[in-house]
Amino acid sequence: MPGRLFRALLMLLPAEFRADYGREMEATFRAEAAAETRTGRMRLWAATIVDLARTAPAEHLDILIRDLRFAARTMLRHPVHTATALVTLMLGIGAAVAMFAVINAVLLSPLPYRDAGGLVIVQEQRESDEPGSLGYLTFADLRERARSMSVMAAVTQSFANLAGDGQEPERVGAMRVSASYFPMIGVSPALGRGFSEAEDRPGEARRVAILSDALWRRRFAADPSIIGRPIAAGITTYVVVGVMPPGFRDLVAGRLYEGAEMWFPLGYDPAAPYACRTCRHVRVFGRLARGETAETAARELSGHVAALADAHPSEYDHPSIAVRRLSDFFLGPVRPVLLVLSFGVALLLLVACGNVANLQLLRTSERGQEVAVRAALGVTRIRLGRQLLTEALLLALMGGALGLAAAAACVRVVRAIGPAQLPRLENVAIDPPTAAMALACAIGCGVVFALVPLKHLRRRDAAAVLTGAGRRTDTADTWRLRALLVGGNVAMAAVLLVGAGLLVRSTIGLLAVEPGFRYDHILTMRVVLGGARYGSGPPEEQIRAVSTFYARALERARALPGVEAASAINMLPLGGGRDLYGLHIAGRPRANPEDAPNALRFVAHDGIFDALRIPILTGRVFDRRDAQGAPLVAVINRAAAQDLFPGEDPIGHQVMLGIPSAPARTIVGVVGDVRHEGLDEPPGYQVYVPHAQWAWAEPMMSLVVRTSGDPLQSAGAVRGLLRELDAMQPVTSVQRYDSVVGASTATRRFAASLLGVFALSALTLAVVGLYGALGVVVRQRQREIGIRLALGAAAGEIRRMVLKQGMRPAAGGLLLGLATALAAAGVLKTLLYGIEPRDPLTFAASTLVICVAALLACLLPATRAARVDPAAAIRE
Amino acid sequence: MRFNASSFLPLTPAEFQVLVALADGEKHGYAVIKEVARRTDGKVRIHTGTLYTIVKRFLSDGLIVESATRPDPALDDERRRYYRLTDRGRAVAVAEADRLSETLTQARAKLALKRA
Repeated sequence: MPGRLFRALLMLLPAEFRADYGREMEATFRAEAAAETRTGRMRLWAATIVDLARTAPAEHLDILIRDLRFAARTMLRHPVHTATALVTLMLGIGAAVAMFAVINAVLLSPLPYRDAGGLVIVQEQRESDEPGSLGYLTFADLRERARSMSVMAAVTQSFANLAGDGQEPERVGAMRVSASYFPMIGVSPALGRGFSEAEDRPGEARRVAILSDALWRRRFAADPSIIGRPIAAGITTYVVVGVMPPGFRDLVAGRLYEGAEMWFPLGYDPAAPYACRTCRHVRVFGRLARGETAETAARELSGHVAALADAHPSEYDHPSIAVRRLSDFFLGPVRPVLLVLSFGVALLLLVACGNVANLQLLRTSERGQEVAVRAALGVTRIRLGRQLLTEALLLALMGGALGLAAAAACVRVVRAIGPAQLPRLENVAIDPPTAAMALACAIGCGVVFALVPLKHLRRRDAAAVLTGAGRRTDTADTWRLRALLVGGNVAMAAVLLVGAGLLVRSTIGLLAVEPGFRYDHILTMRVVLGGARYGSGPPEEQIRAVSTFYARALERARALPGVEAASAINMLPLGGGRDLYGLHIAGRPRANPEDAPNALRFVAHDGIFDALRIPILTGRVFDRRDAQGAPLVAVINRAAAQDLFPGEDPIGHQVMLGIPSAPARTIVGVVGDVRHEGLDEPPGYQVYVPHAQWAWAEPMMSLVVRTSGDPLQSAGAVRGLLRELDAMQPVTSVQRYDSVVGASTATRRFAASLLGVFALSALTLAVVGLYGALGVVVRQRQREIGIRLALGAAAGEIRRMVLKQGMRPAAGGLLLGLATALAAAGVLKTLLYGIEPRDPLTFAASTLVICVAALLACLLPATRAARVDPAAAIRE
Repeated sequence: MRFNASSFLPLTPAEFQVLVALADGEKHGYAVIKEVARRTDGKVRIHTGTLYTIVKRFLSDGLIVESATRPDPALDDERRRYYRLTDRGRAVAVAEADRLSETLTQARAKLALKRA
């Protein structure tokens, strides 16, 4: 028993040490123990345990340092091998770590709210539309009745024009929120307080505001006395009651609206006309009550809304309520893209590992003799294994460090060019979890690199290597392993190539979709008019003030040199925003007005169709006649004309927008369909209304200026004339229209280009691996090839023989890759547009690319083999 | 390359004691431990872990060698190995003894100065 215990203690020491001194140590200890009394033995045990615990780590460290020195010397002796392995690892680990950084920030990090898992978005699901916003009265009724929600809150978008304080006028994004909003998300202001229920009522009481930390620092010099101070925002003066904590980024505002740096109380007046049930413009959120799920909540709320529909049959369209967890709502749309990309990057990392393992295998077979000599000199297999593991880990850790550096560079690029649709892109960083991921990748790779050659080493007969008189030998077994690695790499490259091919073809198809308008040579900028001049007085005066401002601005813009056309519109096609109105046709009442089709409502100035080159199909478009007070007119798109007025001329018909009792507008023209919600989305019905004739002033418009030269060169002049008209009005989003359209396809282009880069990298690595492996084979078979040639074999035969040897694993890998791609293509379905996941052309093209690449990789070694000098080869 | 004993200095007390223990003839590990304990009245005790890491290092540095001669088989334990001091080892031990002696002399001189 004491002997066994002592032997167990010896396990603390390195195996090599144990092999040399273990038995002797045991004998010495036994002798020491035998000479002691019972108490003395106890003391001896304690002292020996402490002694071994102290000496063993030093011994391990000693061996590690020796192994590291040896490994470093070996690596320096083979700079090309080392550099190739390091670059390969840098590529694989760098891509994997960068991708992990993105996934970690976007998908894995919790939402910036307390207990975010319980937060849900509540949407009204109508028969004729996707789930969306609610009317305020519906929200108010649901909030009163819901038992599955512990708290509910409604929000709407808002803006504030900060001006008049001697600083540059600035428009900031804002939200109007229920008083329950901040308690619901579990984030309180760092300074001051949140909104009270009393402030969330219509009237003067609601004139309070909470600022973001960034705005407080930027505009108010982080002055703590801001609390309780009035600030002017537009025509309203708000009293600041709170400042949010630094770093708080409201994801709701960021994803649904244009961010928020100010929050105001919602303060809805239930009696106001815009608080109706059909005026669906509040976004509703809630926190699930204990024990409730999104599904149970949806069932309960759907029951309530069905009851509301019974009570108000003309204000609902077969409604139900969709409840989704906030994380699913915000992150769900990007999850498939990121998962596909992670799968791609994992394949790339595997290909890189396969390649480095192949390189290590080559080194091992080249080092066969050195290893055999060391084995003959008594170096144990465990010791040899430890040495190999240290070498492999050193290589992998260096590769990991380079990969981490590469990932840091990639992360900077991703943050700069990543699509805005990716939420929380600004949080992507190389943080401790990402660094840990890099370390894990490196250690994993290191173990793989050590295991492959180790497995091979164990099979080698040291004596056979020694008697090989220095010739590098390679067994059929090694070639099989190497062929397997090469084949595996080709298979993974094939999967990636097919995936990237599908995405690229789909993106090209998408970009070729005709948007229905021309966006080249167009400058856009957004103006939101604020202040008493535009926001006070009766609605007619406001409409006049606002539309006159834009009309004057456009008149001056058209006179600028280089400007071909200029107009203004409330929503830039493909620029986001969704303003849907029920489209009612005069003389064709529906039993339930809510059954009326929805149309996108654009409010625009004259010249918009010319500036955007939207074709006029029949009738006329707006002109100066369609002023405020003139007969109301509307222009509809082709889809609305064809579907709603089949076989008849829509010109002269009248339509009402929103509700049947809204003012009737005479259709004066039909224009072409314009894609608005995405190039991959059908245009739907569209109605254009002159700015001066809309029911209320639309203070926020986007200017559209068509120029003959570079649009951005006119930006200064247009901004200047806006400043001349009213220096207090901030101008934002100054950009070329092609950037706006580009952003609408950014996620797809991002995914396609990234997967494309992964696929090309994987293909390059696989082909280089094949080339390297075959090159070694040719070198090793040189003597045999020489004999064959000497015996009369033709050069062509030799070439074919080598080609066959190389192409066999490549072909096997290709078939496996294609089969895998065929089976897995379905996962890409949601990311594709216009092509099937099993698109034959993509599969055929990928096959061709891989075949050509593999053939090229085999051709060089095959040609070299055919040119072997028989005499020299045999003499060698 | 010329052997330079001072490049091994200073030795740890345990290292020095091992070299001194082997100065009067070859010994196996247990004998070294016993000799060190005896000579220091049990004040210095070397345990197996420390002893054999020192043995391993001294063997590789050539300060000791494993002895080929073994005692009468009746008295021998085949698991034991016997170690002998080499000339190099002796030179290192002497150099360390000189170093220690000089240190002591200097220390005593200084302390005596203070006492005076």
